[in-house]
Amino acid sequence: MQLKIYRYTIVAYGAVLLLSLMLFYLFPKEALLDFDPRAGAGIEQDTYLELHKKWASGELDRKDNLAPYRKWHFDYDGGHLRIVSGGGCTPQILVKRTAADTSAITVAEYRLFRGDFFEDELNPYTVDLVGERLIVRGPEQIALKFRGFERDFTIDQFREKRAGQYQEQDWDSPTSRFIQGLYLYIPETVKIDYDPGDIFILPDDEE
Amino acid sequence: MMSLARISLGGAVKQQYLFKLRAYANLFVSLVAVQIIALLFTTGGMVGMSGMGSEYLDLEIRFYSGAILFVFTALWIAVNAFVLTLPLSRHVDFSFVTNRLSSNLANFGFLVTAAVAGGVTVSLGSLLLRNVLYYTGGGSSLIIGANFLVRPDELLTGAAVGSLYLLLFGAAGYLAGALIQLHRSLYVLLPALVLGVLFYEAAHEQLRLLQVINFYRLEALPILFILKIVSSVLLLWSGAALLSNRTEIG
Repeated sequence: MQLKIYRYTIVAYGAVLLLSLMLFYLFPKEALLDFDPRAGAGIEQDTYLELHKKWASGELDRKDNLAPYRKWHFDYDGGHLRIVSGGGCTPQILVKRTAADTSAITVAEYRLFRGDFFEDELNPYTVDLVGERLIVRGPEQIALKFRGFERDFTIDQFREKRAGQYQEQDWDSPTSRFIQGLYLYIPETVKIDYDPGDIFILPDDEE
Repeated sequence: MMSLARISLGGAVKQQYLFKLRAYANLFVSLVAVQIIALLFTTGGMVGMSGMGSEYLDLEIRFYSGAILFVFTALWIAVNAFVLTLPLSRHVDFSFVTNRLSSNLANFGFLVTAAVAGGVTVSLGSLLLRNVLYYTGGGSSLIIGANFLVRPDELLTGAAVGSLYLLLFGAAGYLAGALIQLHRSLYVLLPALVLGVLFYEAAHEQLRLLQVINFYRLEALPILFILKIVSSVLLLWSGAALLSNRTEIG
């Protein structure tokens, strides 16, 4: 009797494993997430600096193939503007001065990506002009949870390895994969003030 | 009643091997239990985690693998190989016309079977893990494609390599069991020595234990890998067979 129970248990487990094998190979899986966190491992810092430099040097609006994600245009004759945060993440703004007689403020949101899946997931900025206050609401943080798989070490036995290399842990941080910031085009005569604790503002290099 | 029938070594080994497969069927049930526990631990969160992000983005990735499944199975085969050398298991052989050699050879045959069963089920278990997480994980959009798919040839390689490693663990467990039979004090001394070595190694930067593991782990040529494992296993088995010849009968 006991032997029968043993046999049934072993056969049942074997059947589950075989069914799983068939399920894995016979039924195609829907499109899985095309994202390899290790893809850019080792170049994180360079990439981040490169992206940030492009944004901070005010070059994004000069790139032919890069259009702003969103754009706001306000008529403005005042001589002073206070930029305030309307919530969300800390807005990152690069100020670009325009001719004194422009009488307009333009704000453009730029996003620079390395082509990741979360490009469409990011929340946008919102900008409003109320009197002499430019209210900038930073994007809300997005939280994403995923499941990934390590290759079994037995599968990789015959791939070239180096001593001590059991698992590569040098993930490429997503912070290095994109820039989401604003360009603020404002007449050179308009004085700007803001609370540096709420907003991060960079002056244009050309100023 | 005495039997006058003559039986060859091969015949005796085969008879004992088949008997052991039936008598120790419970060990294969324990393999099922061990692997189910490992799968539960893995799906339940005993996994690698990577949290990345910035003010704009908070990304959390849980990384799963068949590593825990393999570790549990390696422990299973080492413990069971050890159990095979215990007096109670050896007494079972006396139901047959037997000697130490045929008993050891039958045990080795049983361990090869156990290692192959373990290696194949670990590989298939890794697919089961992927299926469970795929169908219960809220859809494919939440599963990173890299490393999810396993080609059939990779599955076969994984099963074969896993079986060879398990054979090595089994042989080590068998030798440890044979060693302990030499004197009762070794029941305490041997585990203490193993634990002591592990703690000592863990406290030092240059782990010599890792160098031993690297001897097998870093071998990328299949033929050399097989040669290394098989020669090591034969060495361990020979040692165990020699030691078991020195132990008292009964």
